[in-house]
Amino acid sequence: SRGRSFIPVRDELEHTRNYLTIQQMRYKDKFTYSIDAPEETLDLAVIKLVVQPIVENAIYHSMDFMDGEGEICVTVRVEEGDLYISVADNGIGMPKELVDRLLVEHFPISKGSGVGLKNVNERIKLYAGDAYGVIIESELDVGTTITLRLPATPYTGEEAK
Amino acid sequence: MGKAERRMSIGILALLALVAALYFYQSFAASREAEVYGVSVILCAEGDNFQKGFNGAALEDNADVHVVSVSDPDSAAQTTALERELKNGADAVILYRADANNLGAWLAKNNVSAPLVLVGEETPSGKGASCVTLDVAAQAQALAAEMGKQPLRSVILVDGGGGSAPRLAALRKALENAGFSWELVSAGDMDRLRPGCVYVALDPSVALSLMELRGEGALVYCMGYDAALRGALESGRIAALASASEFDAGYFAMTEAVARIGGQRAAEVKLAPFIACSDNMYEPPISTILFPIG
Repeated sequence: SRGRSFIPVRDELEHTRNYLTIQQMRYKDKFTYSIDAPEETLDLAVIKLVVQPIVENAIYHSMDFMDGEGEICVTVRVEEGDLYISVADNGIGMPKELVDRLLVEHFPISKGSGVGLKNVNERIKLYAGDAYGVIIESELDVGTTITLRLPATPYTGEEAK
Repeated sequence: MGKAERRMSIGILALLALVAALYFYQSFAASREAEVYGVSVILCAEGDNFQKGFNGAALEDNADVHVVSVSDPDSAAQTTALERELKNGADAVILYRADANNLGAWLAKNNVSAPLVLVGEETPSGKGASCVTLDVAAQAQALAAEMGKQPLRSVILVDGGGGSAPRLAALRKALENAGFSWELVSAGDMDRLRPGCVYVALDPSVALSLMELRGEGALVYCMGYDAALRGALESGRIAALASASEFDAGYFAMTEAVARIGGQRAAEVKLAPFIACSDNMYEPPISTILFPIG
């Protein structure tokens, strides 16, 4: 994905899978993960580097509370012409006040990454319009699901801008 | 001969034997009186552990060391320093990490009056110079084997542009032989340095930059060692590094220089690689390499 702004969902999930593999090693299998993407979604276009920051957020906000039972589930679906990529964890969840701030203020997820949810949300809206972006659902002591909503557009290799 | 006369003869003989023994002992001791050798060491790069190594050997081998640091990146300055040390009467000269191509060209054109010992990752052979080689091919193979312990098989080689051609060539070959695919990225090309990847930094300064840029979301390996990496190695932010013992390089270089002064033929020493990671960095032998006493 050299220098392109858009890549196929397939490639974005591959990067995410590699990232999760590394983090599993680093955190000595404190969590498991799954990636569920139907074949028909893999060749849709997605903005580069939008899924990995969401996964990174799930890991860093939940890891201290996962003791081998942590789960991170990435699911992809298409509904009514839109692409939904969800990252769900069974961590400690977030209070509503924090959820409301995440897309308004810049919270770098970890040092060295520098890409927060606000950044991801803004990038999606810049590309697709205000109807699209990041949706956060969280319940304390249950977990968090962060969903990216984008238009379901086939990747043709001409989207790089 | 009466008794008294016999005793006197024995006494005189004993005295003569004692004198003879003393004479021969003094002659022997005089022949073994230590010589002091003048060895010049030209440092074309920093190397604290290398200096500890050659200073340690110098003490053992009675070498008087004259250290010259060449900070000018122009490789001609290195051979100028060499010529000056030879002209000043050095018994032997050690060159540390001199430009191999330039040095090879100089050796081809010059007859050298004193033994030379060349130390580096690339050492030009021929013309009677001794070589102490930090074997990057062996380091790359060892690092590729270490990287094989994790499941990802695609690697990004990150080049800081600091003249790392031998390391890059060795790594490419070792990674391909180990079944990895790789791509080469400049350390300045941040857009291509993404999280969730396996990186191999071609030198310690690039490894330090990578840790700043990509934090904990990547696996970082490194060719080469610098004391600045210790904290990152301990924490696991650098998964492993491959290097050779700079201390040993300095020690062998000085020992070889003194041996050459004594008339021995030029030798070639290849230093074996070591792999350091958080699990072994405080255990011998790795600990003695990373933290030499000297």
